[in-house]
Amino acid sequence: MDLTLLADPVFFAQNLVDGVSRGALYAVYAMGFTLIFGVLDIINLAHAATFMWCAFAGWFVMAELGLPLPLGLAASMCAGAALALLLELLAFRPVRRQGADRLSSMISSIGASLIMVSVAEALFGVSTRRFPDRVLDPRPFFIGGTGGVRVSRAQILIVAAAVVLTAALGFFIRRTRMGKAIRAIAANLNASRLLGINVNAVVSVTFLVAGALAGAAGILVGLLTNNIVPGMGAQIELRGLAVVILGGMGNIEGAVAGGLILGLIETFTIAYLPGGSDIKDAIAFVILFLILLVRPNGILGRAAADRA
Amino acid sequence: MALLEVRDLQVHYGGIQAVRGFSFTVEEGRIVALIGANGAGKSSTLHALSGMVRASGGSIRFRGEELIGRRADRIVRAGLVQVPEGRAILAPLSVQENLELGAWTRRGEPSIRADLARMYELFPSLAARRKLAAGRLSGGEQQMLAIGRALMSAPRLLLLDEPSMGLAPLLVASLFTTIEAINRAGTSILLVEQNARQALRVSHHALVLSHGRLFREGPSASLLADRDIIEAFLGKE
Amino acid sequence: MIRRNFPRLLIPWFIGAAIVCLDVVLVVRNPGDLDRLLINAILALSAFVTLHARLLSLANAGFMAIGAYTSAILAVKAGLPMALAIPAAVIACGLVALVIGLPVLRLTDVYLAICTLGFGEVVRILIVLLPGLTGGATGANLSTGFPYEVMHQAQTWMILLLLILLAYLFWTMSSSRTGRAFRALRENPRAASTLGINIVAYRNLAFLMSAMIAGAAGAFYAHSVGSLDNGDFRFTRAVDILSFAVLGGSGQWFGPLLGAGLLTALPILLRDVVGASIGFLRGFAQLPNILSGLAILLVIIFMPGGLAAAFGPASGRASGHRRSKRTAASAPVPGHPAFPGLASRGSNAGGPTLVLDGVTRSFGGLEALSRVSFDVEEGRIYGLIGPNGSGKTTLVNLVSGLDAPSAGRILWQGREIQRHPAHLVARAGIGRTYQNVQLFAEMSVRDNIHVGHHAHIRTDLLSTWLRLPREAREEKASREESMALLERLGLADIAGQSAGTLSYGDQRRVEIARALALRPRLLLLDEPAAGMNEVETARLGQLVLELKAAGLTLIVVEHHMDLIMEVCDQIVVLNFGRKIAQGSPAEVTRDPQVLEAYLGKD
Repeated sequence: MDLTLLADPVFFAQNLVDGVSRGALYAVYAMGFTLIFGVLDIINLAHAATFMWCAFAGWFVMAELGLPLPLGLAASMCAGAALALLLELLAFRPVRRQGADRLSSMISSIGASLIMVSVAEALFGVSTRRFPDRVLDPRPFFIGGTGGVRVSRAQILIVAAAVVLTAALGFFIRRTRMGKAIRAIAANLNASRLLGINVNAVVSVTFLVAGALAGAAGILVGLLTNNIVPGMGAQIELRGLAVVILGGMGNIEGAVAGGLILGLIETFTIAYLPGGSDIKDAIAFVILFLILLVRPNGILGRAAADRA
Repeated sequence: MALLEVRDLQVHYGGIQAVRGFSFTVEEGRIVALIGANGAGKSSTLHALSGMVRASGGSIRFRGEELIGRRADRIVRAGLVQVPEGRAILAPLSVQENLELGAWTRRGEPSIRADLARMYELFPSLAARRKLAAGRLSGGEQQMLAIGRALMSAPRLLLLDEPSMGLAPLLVASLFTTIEAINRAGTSILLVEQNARQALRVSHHALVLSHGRLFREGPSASLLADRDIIEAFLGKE
Repeated sequence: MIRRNFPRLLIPWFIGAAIVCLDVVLVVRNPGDLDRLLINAILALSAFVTLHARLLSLANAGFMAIGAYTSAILAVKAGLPMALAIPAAVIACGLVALVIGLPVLRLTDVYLAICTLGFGEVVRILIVLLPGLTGGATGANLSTGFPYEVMHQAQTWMILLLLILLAYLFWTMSSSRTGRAFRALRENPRAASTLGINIVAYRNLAFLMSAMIAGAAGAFYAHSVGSLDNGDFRFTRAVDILSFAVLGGSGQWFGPLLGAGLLTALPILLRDVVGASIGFLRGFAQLPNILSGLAILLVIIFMPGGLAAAFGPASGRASGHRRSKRTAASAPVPGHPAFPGLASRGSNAGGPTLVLDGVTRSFGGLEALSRVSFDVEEGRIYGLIGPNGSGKTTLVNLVSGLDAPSAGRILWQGREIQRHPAHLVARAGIGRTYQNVQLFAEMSVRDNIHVGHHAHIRTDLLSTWLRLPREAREEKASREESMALLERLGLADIAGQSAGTLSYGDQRRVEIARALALRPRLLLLDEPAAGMNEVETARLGQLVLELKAAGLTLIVVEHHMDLIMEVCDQIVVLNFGRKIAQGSPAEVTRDPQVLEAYLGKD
């Protein structure tokens, strides 16, 4: 380990910035994922494929149609909402109708994901796409002069977006009528029916929201990495799983916290550990294993007994 | 026309026939008790009424409309609301949110607010804990919350499934007092109970169910003394 | 009946034949694909073992990688011949599986899936991290040091041999005690554990077998293909393997083989045949994946049992309509006092055999059972009654080992058993039935009883595979005793019927028969008369008395007071988790506290 690095405050601050923005990305991705689990108790492994398609939708709107970033973001979130709803109607509801268990729903999402990714590969090939530079000025800011901490506009946007989305989602879940209905279903599905709540409709709304969040994540990741390919879901999917388990399944605050923690750990590992960039992929899984060994329901997640 | 008319109800549960042809009516403004031994089919009857289970035969007419085949949330909108066995309150949500959700099928903020205030008057212990997570309440308070929540939907007919279950004896008394008060205020009630004596005392009319069939029915007062009732519960002497 | 079903019976064979034809066409067009087909078949079997035991393990790709790289490294770097390298690789996989399995198999379904998924990725990362050994991210080439041709050719018949061997092993296993244990575990783990099956051990066995088979496939893959790349073992490989098992169905061992056969051949043939005429070449490279995805989706939604379900004796869930209306067999055979397997007791009559001492069970703040104590004397029938929520089923769960008390002791024949897991309690001689019947619905009545013999048959998997005469002997004895038991209970007519299609009364009797096959000394019956009419209840009472005459001790939880009054020597009454009365039926029904508990306070 290069000990001089430890003493360098600028290096540390840089990694802090990079870690927080990376973590914010994971948080936005994980929020949508954990929402579905919290409400329906299913692991939607097609969330990553949705996320990927949204990135392409954004690319199409911005690069091919020449529209600005806000419209690209809107298009991406709408695409996400639509895709997620389609998934619910085609892949999850039929399975639920038969009274199948969590495993069947998960397998169903694996099948859907495979189709979505393969079709994307067939349509878009393997070449990388990127958002055009004009949508967001690529010139970074430097805090403390040219040798200082480098912050790109993309990073600022990501963190800002994460904050806004977290607040918005929190408001939606806690303060609106529909949000109350979603929490009701998550607490006790049958009791909710007896209250006159149309469960299927509320579930659909949940998927719309989760899909929109996936869409947001798609644009944000595209802005940061400039690498839009059909396979982009695979990396983030596994990290998303780790984050959600770290923060507790169904726990939105936990997903945010978990995302930040993972982002920071990854960034600092790459920076300070020799050979760190090789093992950064493994970090998420090691964390995952360790947590599940000790707490099979995640760190901040509710214990199984809490479920009504 | 009676508020609720059930004819020849048949309910199957995973292969067993839980209700084998049960007919009864509930008149407007009355409390009808449905009692019987465990496994007699009482809860199954309520589940069929609320649409949680689709009845396999017979007819359920509520205010003239057939309910069999209707979706559960539609039945609630029609004015038939159940407080399920074990209360099934929404534990992570607050007391206030649980009550508000009771009014899910209603529109009109002002009247909902007015009813909410009335609930807090009826159940002062809930008023004191309105921000608390419902899962933290005691058993008795949860039962009150469940009933209050059901009342928030302004039902025409309230179905109560074993409300006294798991409650300490002192609370049971106040529970039945509350049931009477609710009925006096205009809500008709179909009460399923294990505690036969209290149920008979508070109700106008009673139905005794045994092995999925109607065993005896009549005015509650006369059934209270009936030896047959004891037999239905504890077997022949 | 057979005649009407004849066309239906043929369908699965048509499907099987069609798939075989497809594969033949595939191999004829390109002989190189035969290896890929065989390896996929072997991988499918590795997925079968775990999915059959209801473990969604996505670790096969990881084990395949371990097997491939271990064998390749041993062959190339250590110069080992294939005959040593491959078995060593398989053993390596087994060891890793044992180590990983211990913590991971404790997890519940979806967490297990995620963990195994992560395992696969960690393996891949390790491969990249050890370039010296594995060639790192750029891959390993095995052909250095071996003549490529010789290595390749030697493979195909070997892989075929392995596949045939595995098929034989699975075929014999499926009709053996181990196979029954897996099926029981798959259908109903709780019921299986109370019949003496060690769920944890079997899950570990399934995981171990799956790992070793996947490792073998990987090792042969390495020697067949000649070069390895860690990209061969990505998550998509695990999903492919899963799709074989899902499409083919994990109910029968040959199901995944069908899945592998179809999903290997179909995409390639489609691409060659259709792609040639359309020319949309780029799109059809994805065809295998799209088809796999579609296969998974459609099967999960429309045919959860997969292709193999069409072959099975009982396909899918038994619907209420198919329930047999006729209450199958008649009353139990009169004049046959003995129950097969239950040795007449009598010598030990009198002493307490089960003792509950201050048993308490609390959940959070709620006490479901509160300091309950009573003794159960051998050879008598005890009734356990009480209103809803009084703790009766909790008590039964504690005695049978499905749950452990928060305080207090439970003694069985002098030994403390309150911390024993269910399968040990069962083996110690305590059997039970359940409030809502927990039969193995997809298995025949006869097989349900067979499972009950699990604890008494000694043969293990090795004897099964070596076809040792002892296995045949014990199976035969078990079959005979099962039939005798069924006859004694009047169920012989329906022995071959699928348990899920029986009438409710018959199901209850089968469940009792299954519990009797355990040869228990104490039988716990949890609401055995629920849902029965008067006639059936009376017959049940008769049966219970006969069981007592045969020397069995019984505890009956019931609400049917007629039944309780008729058969019980002693009644224990619970209310709010406490024992409020104990005595003879007459005493108890006159007890004012009991009356108040049932009818309500005055």
